[in-house]
Amino acid sequence: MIERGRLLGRAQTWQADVVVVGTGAGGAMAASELSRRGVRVIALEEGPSLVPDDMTQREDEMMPKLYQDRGGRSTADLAIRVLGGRNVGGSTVHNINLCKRIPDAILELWERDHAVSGLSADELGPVFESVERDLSVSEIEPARRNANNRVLERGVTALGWRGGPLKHNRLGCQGSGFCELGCPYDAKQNAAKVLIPDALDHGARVVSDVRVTRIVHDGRRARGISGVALGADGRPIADVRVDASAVVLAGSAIGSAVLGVASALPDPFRNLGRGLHLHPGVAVAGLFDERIEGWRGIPQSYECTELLDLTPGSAHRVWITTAFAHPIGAAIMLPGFGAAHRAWMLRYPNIAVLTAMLHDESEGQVSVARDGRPRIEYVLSLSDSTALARGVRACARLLFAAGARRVLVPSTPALELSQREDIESIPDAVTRPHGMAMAAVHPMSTLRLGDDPRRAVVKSTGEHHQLSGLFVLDGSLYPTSIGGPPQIGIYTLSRHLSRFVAERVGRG
Amino acid sequence: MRADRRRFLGWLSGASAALFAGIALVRGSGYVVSEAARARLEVLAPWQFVVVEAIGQRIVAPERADVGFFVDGFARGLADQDRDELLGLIGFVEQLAPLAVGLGPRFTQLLPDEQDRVLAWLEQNPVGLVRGGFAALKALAMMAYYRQDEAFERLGYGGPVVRWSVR
Repeated sequence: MIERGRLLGRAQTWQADVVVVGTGAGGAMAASELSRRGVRVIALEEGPSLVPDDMTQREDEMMPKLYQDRGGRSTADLAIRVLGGRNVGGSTVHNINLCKRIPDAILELWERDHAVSGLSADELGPVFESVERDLSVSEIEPARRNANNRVLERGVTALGWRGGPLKHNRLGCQGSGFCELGCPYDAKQNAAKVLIPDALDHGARVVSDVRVTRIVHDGRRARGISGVALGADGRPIADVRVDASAVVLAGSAIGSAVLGVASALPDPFRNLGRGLHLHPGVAVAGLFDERIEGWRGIPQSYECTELLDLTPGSAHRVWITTAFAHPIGAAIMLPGFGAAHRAWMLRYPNIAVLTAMLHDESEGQVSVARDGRPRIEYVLSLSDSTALARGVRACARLLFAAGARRVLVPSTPALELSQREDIESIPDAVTRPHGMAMAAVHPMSTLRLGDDPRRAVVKSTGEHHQLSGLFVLDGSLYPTSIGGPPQIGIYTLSRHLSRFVAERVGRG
Repeated sequence: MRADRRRFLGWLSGASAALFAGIALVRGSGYVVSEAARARLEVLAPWQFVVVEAIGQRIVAPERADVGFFVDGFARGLADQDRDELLGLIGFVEQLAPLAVGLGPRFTQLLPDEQDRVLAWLEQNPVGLVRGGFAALKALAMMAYYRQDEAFERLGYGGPVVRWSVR
């Protein structure tokens, strides 16, 4: 049973072999793997533990519950909204369940250019398979593709572009279309549903509502964590300390970096928190004669990879899929206000939305703001914003090819295209900072792995270069963007690298 | 000579303080909020409530929504710094933004089309933080309106299919 930190009445000191910080894909997998090996594990989560009955399918109720900073987190310049999970299960509770492996080309790049060892496609292949089996990953059948995804498929087919179906980890899905607000049907085969119960079954303790504020260390070895339990109002109510032989940091590329900086981890080459990739995305809307009702059915079941070339420096680095939002999300995305905005909203049932997400080479930085919260500095480079603008034009092309009457690029000011010849009028500048609404749901790379301590924070085993007993097992590890959703890669790396954690505490 | 200069600077400083206090008094008074509404507010000051209402109604126009109370409730759950920034932004829109587009009165005293000019200036401002501030206000107003079942019906949106709700 998950323990609730908000019920703690006084300061606590606990002992464990390993304390895991964060219960998303990386942390939950580590807790499961380690407890299965007989390791005494305590896993801590800053957010609450939610159950399917908590998921009301209402944006205004679920966004504050599921997301960091109530869904309002953004880069320091307010140009990019950065969404991350904050509850037991982390972002796997609200994500769309997309399961794309880390591409072989990326693994080769890491080995060749980032001194990563032991993580080749051959070595990770069986681990990916085992993770996909345990999480019930399968391709979404064509018959379950919703109208918005059929629009994308139609566009891809008409243009003769590269595309195909996507895999998800869901079982018993009702197709209600509210995935990003949590699943009331418990159909997501995610960290909260599969791995946390497994960890508990094997003796792990999982405690929600505990914010870890420091990694306790002596400069050479990690010795545990200190933190606070949070009351129902989010305010600290009791100190918590865990003494442990090893610490697993799995609080996301943002949270782990902040904790690392706040803990003054050894950082002789100034790599900590740097190298942030956001995989930022923009949305483009198409107006159709027929009703799309994109809010219904399984989202993101089809992709277009025509413009996704993972070669460093490539001009084509965007991944395109669908991105329909419920009314609040749609209203925020559509440009303008007042009557003009309202006119677009009234066409909501006839709108299909595509998103282009950038395999970004720009690098940002996560540091700690004066109030202790994350400060995310990230600005798209010129080549990145140009590549993303190509993605915007590609989305418009796909929408027209699929039969859109009009296409709306939600830039400021808005660009409304009535024919495909207008596409070339979309300027490269449209994706410069604040040019159009931008969101990032896949932050990566702030505690990069690699065997060269001058360039990486952790070794290829996941262990910190300078601090023995500190492991990182989340998206922070990725030395580069992977060009797609990171969750299955995080599960896989965490499973693969957990054995080094077990070895460190004598359970290898 | 030095004494005269000091006396002049002292006079200037005093006059400036009096002038700004007068402006603040004039520009900071005259907000009408019912006792019942005041009693419901937890974060927003009454004048901030009036400003948020005015901004929100222009953003969701021609519809209407309880933007003021929604923002008050939302702000309650914000981290201290975010809440301070939001309150600062409300003051900026009320007092300074109209001046930037050449309008003397504060935002809440402008005609609707003048208020729209101010909002458009914020939305398309070359300064990223100003644009970001507008985006935050827009998001709050849209949340206040598009959370309502009546809004769902007008859109033709089915809304939640589970029956429970915390409200």
